[in-house]
Amino acid sequence: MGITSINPSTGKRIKTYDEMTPGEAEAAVSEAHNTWQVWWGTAFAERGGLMKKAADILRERRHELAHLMASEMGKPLEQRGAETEKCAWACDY
Amino acid sequence: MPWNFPLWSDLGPQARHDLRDALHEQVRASVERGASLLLGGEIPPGEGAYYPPTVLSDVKPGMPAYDEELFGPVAAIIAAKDDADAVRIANDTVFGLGGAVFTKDAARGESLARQLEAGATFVNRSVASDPRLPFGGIKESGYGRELGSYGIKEFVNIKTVYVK
Repeated sequence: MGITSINPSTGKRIKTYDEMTPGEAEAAVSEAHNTWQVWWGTAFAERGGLMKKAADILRERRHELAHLMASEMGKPLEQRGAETEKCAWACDY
Repeated sequence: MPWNFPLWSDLGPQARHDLRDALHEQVRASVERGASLLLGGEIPPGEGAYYPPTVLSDVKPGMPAYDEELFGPVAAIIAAKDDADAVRIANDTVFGLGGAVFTKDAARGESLARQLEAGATFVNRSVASDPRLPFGGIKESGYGRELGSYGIKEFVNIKTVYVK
């Protein structure tokens, strides 16, 4: 059946995504759980470094993300930059 | 360009067509029950999920604009007799995520803000989250907090280890 993303400013379809099968969904949950067992024992210093890197990546990709926010949600230009910055700010914190 | 509003717009479309239609229905039903439509309130022609800035006044209990959340550019004006009445009206809702008070007197604003039943209250600015401060709702607006030092506690097990 698929999950369709529609551009709310034009009403046009952007892309249709295939749904995961129940098996794929279960595998994703299992993997998340197993990965969490590893993170559980990881020190804050290492996690902090990765969060800062995530903030850097968000800021680097701001234009691509702004484009996505406009086409998938209809977000106006000024607010897109602010939204990306807010996410990066949360990662920094 | 994949979107059809100009770069300088500060009001884009609603996020989905069904959300826009539900918002319009809340406006329409409120007007039908006696609210005055001061601005907007009409779905514009065209393919997008647009809704114009809309203002309703004479809003009373029994109208969606009073009882429900309006998730879009629709303002509901409800007159109050005094500060106590304003607080009573503001708290007359099952929701409690955030509230804001706009006033020239910041001290009076803070006093009012403290009486609002919400997880976060702002004086002279709109509700916004800040990673340094806890954010979350009360009543039917949710449980727990995110952000700040309170927020991280939702993601960890506060564990006691007792060694004798």
